[in-house]
Amino acid sequence: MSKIRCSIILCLFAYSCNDSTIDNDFENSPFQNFDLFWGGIDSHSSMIYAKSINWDSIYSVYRPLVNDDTDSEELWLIFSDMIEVFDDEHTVIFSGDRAYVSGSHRIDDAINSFSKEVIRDNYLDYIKDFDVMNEAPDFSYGKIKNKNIGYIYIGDTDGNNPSLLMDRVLEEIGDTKAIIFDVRNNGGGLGSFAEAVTDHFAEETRLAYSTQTRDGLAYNDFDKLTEFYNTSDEINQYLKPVIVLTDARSVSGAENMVVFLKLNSQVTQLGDTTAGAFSSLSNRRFLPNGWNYRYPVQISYSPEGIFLDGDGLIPDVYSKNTPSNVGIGKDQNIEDALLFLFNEYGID
Amino acid sequence: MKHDFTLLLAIVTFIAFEIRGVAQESDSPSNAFSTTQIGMYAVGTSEMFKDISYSPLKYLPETKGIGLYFSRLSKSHYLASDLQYRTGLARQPEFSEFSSDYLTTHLRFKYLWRVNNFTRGKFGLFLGSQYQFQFMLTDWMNLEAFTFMVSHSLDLSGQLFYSINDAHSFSLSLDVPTIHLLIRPPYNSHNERLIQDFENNRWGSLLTNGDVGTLNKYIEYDINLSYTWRLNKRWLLDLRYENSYIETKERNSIILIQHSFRLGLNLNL
Repeated sequence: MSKIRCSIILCLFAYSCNDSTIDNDFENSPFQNFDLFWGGIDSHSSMIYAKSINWDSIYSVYRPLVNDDTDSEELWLIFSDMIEVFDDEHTVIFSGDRAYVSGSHRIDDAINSFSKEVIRDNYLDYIKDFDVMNEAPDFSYGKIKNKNIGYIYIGDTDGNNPSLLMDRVLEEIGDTKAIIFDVRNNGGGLGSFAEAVTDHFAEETRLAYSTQTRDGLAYNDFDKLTEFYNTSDEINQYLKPVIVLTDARSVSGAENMVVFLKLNSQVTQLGDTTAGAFSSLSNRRFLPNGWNYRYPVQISYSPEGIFLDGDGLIPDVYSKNTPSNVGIGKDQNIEDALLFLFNEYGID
Repeated sequence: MKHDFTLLLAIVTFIAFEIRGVAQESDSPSNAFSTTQIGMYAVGTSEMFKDISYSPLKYLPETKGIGLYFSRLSKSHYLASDLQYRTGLARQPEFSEFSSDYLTTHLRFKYLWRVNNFTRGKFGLFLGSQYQFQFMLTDWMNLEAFTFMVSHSLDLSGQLFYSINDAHSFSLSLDVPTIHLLIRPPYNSHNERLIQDFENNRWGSLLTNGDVGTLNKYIEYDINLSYTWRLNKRWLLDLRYENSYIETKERNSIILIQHSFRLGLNLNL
């Protein structure tokens, strides 16, 4: 029995001694939170290299502003100011329900300048929505009122079986003379979804963009290039004129869709410049004070080798809707798109 | 989930006592050191982990699950396999909003040889090796943040059996991995290869594309204490406590400590 007692004692010893092995190495102090936040971005964000940011200078400027008495609100303002240098909607800090998005100065205006209700009520014969839970969270289609022009709205670049969803859309509006493809107020989503829904508009298979993921401490440590192609859907193609509508809140996955669509000669981008936040995001990173943050981990290149993050995708035809237009039930972008289709293609 | 687990434990205990009551008289227990068993068990764990690739904070997972068990013990060798699946919540003690979903699967095959003379005493000491596969996934807000660990390891294993009498026996085992294949998130938690493997269900790649190492990169031990109560000739009640410790020596290191309690009912074939 003594060996059994020894066994039990061994297990109890194991139980008791290893509980203290894991501790929070990081205390919840302003300095510690600052260092983790700055250091997390320093060692992981791809934008320091892509946008030639002097992130060390941010440390030099902002670290002296932190002291033991820095309260939560002051630290929030410091962090917000720090990430503003990226001008990138993918760099965000969160505290509970509050978020600060870098480079978001254009977003509020874009949100207030768009109304799906105005489009539904004043510009469409009908609109159908895919099932939010089982198909796609924000994907609608219909026809422009009194015209043989289709309308597609994707407000979230996410959903199940996107190619099949687009098959169903084109079954219904594929016989139209043109389509307005609206990706305004789209906060992003999956690149694979973006590719699948736009393959139906591809004239032929072409390189759309390339990405590299940061994989080391040095700012320029990136893995090998991964190329992304559109794939022409030869069974269910739509090669008639397409106007893709964009605004400053066409972000990330929405920008992927625009890049895929603009590979094709029949596609015209109309509206405002997109957000310029193209590359994939990191995991959310946690801080000891309960906040979390995220940042891009990739850089993306156009087929010509130009960084896609930054300025955004500039429209072929500039058009600006405004909050006051929304107030009177008007969508200037759609009206300009219809005018463009008439002037360029004679489609009425 | 908590109620389900309690109910399962109650059912297993009830069945065990019923079997014990019905069959007690007619049974003539065979040698406790010579059995082939299959069984099913309920398991609950209390854990701690810290994964630098996931968070600077520590987490306290609590999981519940089930497992299937097979063993063959003879006077010359011991063969065992064990498949376990658990889910639960990795609680962050300071910030409940950071608490994360937690899922783990564990598969073991063990083959040991007897090293002492069994027939002269009630102790049996076995040494040998074990193959171990572990999968752990932690997910916060539908993959807004995640981490995982997949490990395949070849372990040195030892197990000591002690039979008090025909009805009651104990065993104590120790497993220490010697060589392993460790699959962890890439530097920035994900990259295109990982995304594409995941989206295209390339499980072969996801579960094998890692680094081979030994004790310099990966430390683990498992101590397992079990008590077996032979209810009758056919049925055995199996109660176990397991303590394990895992630490990886990589840039984004992970430390995982686990206390596991399980109750199972085994059928003696």
